[in-house]
Amino acid sequence: MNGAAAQLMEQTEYTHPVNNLDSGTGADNRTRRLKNAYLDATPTICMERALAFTQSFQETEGEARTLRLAKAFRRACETITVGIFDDELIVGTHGSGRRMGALVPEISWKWLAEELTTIQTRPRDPYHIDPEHERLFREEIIPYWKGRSLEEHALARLPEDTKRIGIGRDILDTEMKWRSHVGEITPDFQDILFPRGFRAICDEAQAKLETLRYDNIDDLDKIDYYRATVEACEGIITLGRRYAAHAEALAEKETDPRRKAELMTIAANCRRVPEHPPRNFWEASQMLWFVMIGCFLSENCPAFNVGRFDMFMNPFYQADRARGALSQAFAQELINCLWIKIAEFIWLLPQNGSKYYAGYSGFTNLTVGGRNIDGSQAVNEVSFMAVEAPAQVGLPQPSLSVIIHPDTPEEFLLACCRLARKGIGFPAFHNDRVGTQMMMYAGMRPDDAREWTLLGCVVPHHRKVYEWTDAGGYNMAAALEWTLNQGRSRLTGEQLGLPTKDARHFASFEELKETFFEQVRHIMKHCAVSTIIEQKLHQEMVPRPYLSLLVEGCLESGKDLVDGGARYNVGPGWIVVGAADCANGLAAIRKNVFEENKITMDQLLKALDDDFVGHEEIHQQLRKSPKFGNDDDTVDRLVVEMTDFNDRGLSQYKDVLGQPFHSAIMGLTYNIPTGAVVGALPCGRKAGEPLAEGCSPHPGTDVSGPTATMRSEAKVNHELHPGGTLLNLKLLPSVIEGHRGLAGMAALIRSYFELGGYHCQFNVIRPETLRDAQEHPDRYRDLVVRVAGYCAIFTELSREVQNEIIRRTTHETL
Amino acid sequence: MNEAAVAPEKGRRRVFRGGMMQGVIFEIERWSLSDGPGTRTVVFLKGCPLRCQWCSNPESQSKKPQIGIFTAKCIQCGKCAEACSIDLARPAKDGGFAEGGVCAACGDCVEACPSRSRRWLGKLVDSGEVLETIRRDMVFYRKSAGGVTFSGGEPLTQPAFMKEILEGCRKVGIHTAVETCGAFNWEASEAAVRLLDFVMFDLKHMDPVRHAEITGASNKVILENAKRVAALGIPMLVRIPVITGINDDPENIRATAEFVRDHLPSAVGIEALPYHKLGLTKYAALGMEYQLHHITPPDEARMEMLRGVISEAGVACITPDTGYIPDPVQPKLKAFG
Ligand code: SF4
Ligand code: SF4
Repeated sequence: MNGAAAQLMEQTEYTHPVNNLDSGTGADNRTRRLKNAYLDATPTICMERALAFTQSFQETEGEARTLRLAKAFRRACETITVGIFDDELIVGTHGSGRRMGALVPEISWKWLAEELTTIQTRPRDPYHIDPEHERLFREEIIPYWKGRSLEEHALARLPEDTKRIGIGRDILDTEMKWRSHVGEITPDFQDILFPRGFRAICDEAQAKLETLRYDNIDDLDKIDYYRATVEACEGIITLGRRYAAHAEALAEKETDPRRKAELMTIAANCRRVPEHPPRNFWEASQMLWFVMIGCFLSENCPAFNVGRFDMFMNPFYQADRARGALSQAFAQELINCLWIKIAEFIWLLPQNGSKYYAGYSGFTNLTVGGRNIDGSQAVNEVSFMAVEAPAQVGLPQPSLSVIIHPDTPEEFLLACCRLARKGIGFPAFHNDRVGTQMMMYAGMRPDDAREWTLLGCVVPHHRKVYEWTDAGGYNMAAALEWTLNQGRSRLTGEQLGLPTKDARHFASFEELKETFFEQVRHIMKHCAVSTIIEQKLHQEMVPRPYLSLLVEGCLESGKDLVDGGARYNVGPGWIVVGAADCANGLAAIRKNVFEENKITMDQLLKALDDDFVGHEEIHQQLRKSPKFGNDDDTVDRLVVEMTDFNDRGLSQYKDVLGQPFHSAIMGLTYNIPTGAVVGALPCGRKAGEPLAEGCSPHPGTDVSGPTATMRSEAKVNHELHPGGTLLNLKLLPSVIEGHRGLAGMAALIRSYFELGGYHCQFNVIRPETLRDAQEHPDRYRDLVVRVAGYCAIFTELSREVQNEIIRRTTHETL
Repeated sequence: MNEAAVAPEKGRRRVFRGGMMQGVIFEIERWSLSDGPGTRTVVFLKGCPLRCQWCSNPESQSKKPQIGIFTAKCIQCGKCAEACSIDLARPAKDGGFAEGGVCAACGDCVEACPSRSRRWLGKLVDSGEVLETIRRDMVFYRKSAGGVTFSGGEPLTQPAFMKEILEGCRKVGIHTAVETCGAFNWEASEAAVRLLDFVMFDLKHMDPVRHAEITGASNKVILENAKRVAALGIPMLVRIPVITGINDDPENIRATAEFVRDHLPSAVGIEALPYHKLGLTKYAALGMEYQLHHITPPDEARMEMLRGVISEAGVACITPDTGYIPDPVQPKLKAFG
């Protein structure tokens, strides 16, 4: 760590950073005012981007797809409303107001046509829509895109048997990538954007075009690619200029001299970036935001990540500080402003999708800490400010992730724990060693892997990687149900799985388990089929001219991301849901049916059919069988077997770029809808109840304290799951009070990471607070909670999700 | 109360057999941050010579394993009554036992109950088995400079059992501590005490008569033992459970602090712990009366005042912010709280 960083750490050690801020008219108030304006804004559907794309597409019929998309992107940059709101220091919106969800008709529009009447009142994540935007949608957008969306093509191409279990069944969720774009990109600020700016990139593309010839067959695609690159660059540069002009106009009219000066600087910043490289901290912050807006305009989808924020912002911070041009307080204020802008982005989802990804979240991750490419630890002064920002801003986005390494300064870890203890769910703690191993398993060089970052909620990622980290999720508990019911759903009786033999005739536990794996393999096959078809469609229909600018390799090779242009290509990840329930269920069957003969298979099946009604003894017997999360090897080893299988089974398949599929065991809110379609399970879980999330224990069954839970969890071979794994621990605030509590949390994290755990996150909250928030949502409109790997405003979540959060284990023993 | 004769539990798996001694424990709690330095595993041993009215672990008082009755989940299946060879067990919802009779504590009804409405409170275990559980959290101790704490009950009612576990801890470098009420036999316990790295010593009242009123025994032996521990040079923390109207008068607190200052040179300070009612459900499970329903826990202002009294007497106050062993780094880190 350099001298200045050490000095800042000294400061944060002795004074609460808020005290350093100009609290009268400065940051404190600005942050609060901006946050209140955010909370007052209703999530709204905006058609500006859709309209720009529609009009542009009508004019480019017959041109190469990538060029059409780039031109449409440019049109959007040229036409969408430019809005600068009061108090903002970082400017730019991706729609006609704050918190706008943009429809992307080239992917999917049908759902909105169907849900237009209900979307304003639906229980989960409702949206407002202006009558004018509704009219545009009906009269301009639908007529053009009918028959032309990726969704319609996907539905036409997916085989019937895949569709049968892959759509609307919650057995596997194939919709993820035909109802939404991909996202899942981390712009390369370090190596591409900050050093070059879009003008230099555009010039390079022009220069490449000069060398290519239409009479060379190999050059044809490249010509389209570079022409698209030029369009995309011009688009984002134009957007910056429009903001400059708007800021100048506002400054002209502004009477408050202080705000006038701010607007003048904003205008100057937008004249400079994103066209040219930023020269100071403010310009860099503004550039970052323009790059992100470009992402949101090209695709409306989750997981555009900021990346290693402290790593690439610190040089600007240090230089500005050395020149005496920036105070720490103002830098914090800029970071807070950026934070609020990031929170504004919304991923617009249909009713069904919002079941899986509740809370209007954009899943925008921002990562600090970790190591540098040379292996040295990377914490600096900006890292500390990034950890301070969520405490001051208090909004659910961006998702703040910290990477912890044995050499991470204790002061930094304690600052992170102090934030976590506030109960807003941030930050997510990640183990550097395991994250690096995951990236190496995914194919990266060890040195590159050290600069890994986080994507979405808990996915290890790298800015030089192209991947589908969340190709979808599948319901492993369905496979257990089928195993015990000859491939039929227990709730509906439909034959969805393989018609395997009557469970009463299994000769041994091993035979039962093998049949279970056979049913899982059956689901995995459909996962692979749907992804491969979707990937082909994405190559044909939605290449990514703007996003390809942000990732190393594309410009050099003249190839889009979808065609493998990135420096590293990693195969798609499928999320397994319910591994803990399956292991608990198998453990209960082994113990009660095969080992101790307390329950016959026939009795068990009847009890499951009746959802345990009238079978109380059997139900209780099953419930008291060993459960994952209590450091009990008899069941924990089964979880390891399930999760290892998820890697082995999926990696048999290769994607369109020849890369193996991989495993993810994270959560989102997948565990709720998947649980809803599964009947009673042999672990004692009743029909329809949520499954365990990620590879966390089933809610309420980990009763041996956090060290036992962590030891169970650490038995999983995390490095085999480059799609990420997740552990949420809910703590009561009383047990972590004082420095004792803070140091205890820090040691808990370091211990878990030494054991080989990958991620952990704390929910520090009183259950009665949550219940009160349910009764009086108006009083808790900024209560941020962790929902399975991401954060949301509690009162904006559906009742069902709220109940689930309350139900999760509270470690009373702490 | 249905007290049970000592009966070994059935079907227990023993992986690590480091010792031959057996003892009676009622719980092993993993990850505690408030029972000694760092992350602790707390082993609760059964048996206590005192009968403090506010005791939050009533199941710790008797030395023998007992059967606790928890009514909430009882499905009244009658399996317990079927299993009981002396026809004493009854559904938990109906009180758990028939009138009259003496429970043999055979555990048959516990085994038969599908809903865990009947649970062992206390079990007979090998020292090796306890050691194995303690060792599971090694990595957590290492990262936090933590270890194991013996609590209860009065753990030193089982000194030989404890000594065997302490020796096992010492072999692998696990820091050891005890939470004691001080009412133990010195001759029988000295060897175990000498193996301890840290002693948390309760002083409930300085006046012998008042002490006898509220705990059932005089404090004479207790104060003696405190001095003996201090004479061995083992770092000590004196704890005062602060119970409204019982021992929370400034005079008593001052007298305690002065005793610590004048007679316990190895003491790092005093921790005043506000009384709580978290143990109430266990009184019900054991069919015991709780006498202090009317008492409210002391508020933060009162605690602050009493800490002032302790400081004035020249003794350090230990709180969640100070750590257990005063250490030059800690005051700096305090600002993080
Ligand atoms: S066996 Fe358990 S659940 Fe059944 S009646 Fe007895 S106490 Fe109640
Ligand atoms: S079964 Fe045994 S333990 Fe249970 S009540 Fe009867 S004698 Fe007591």
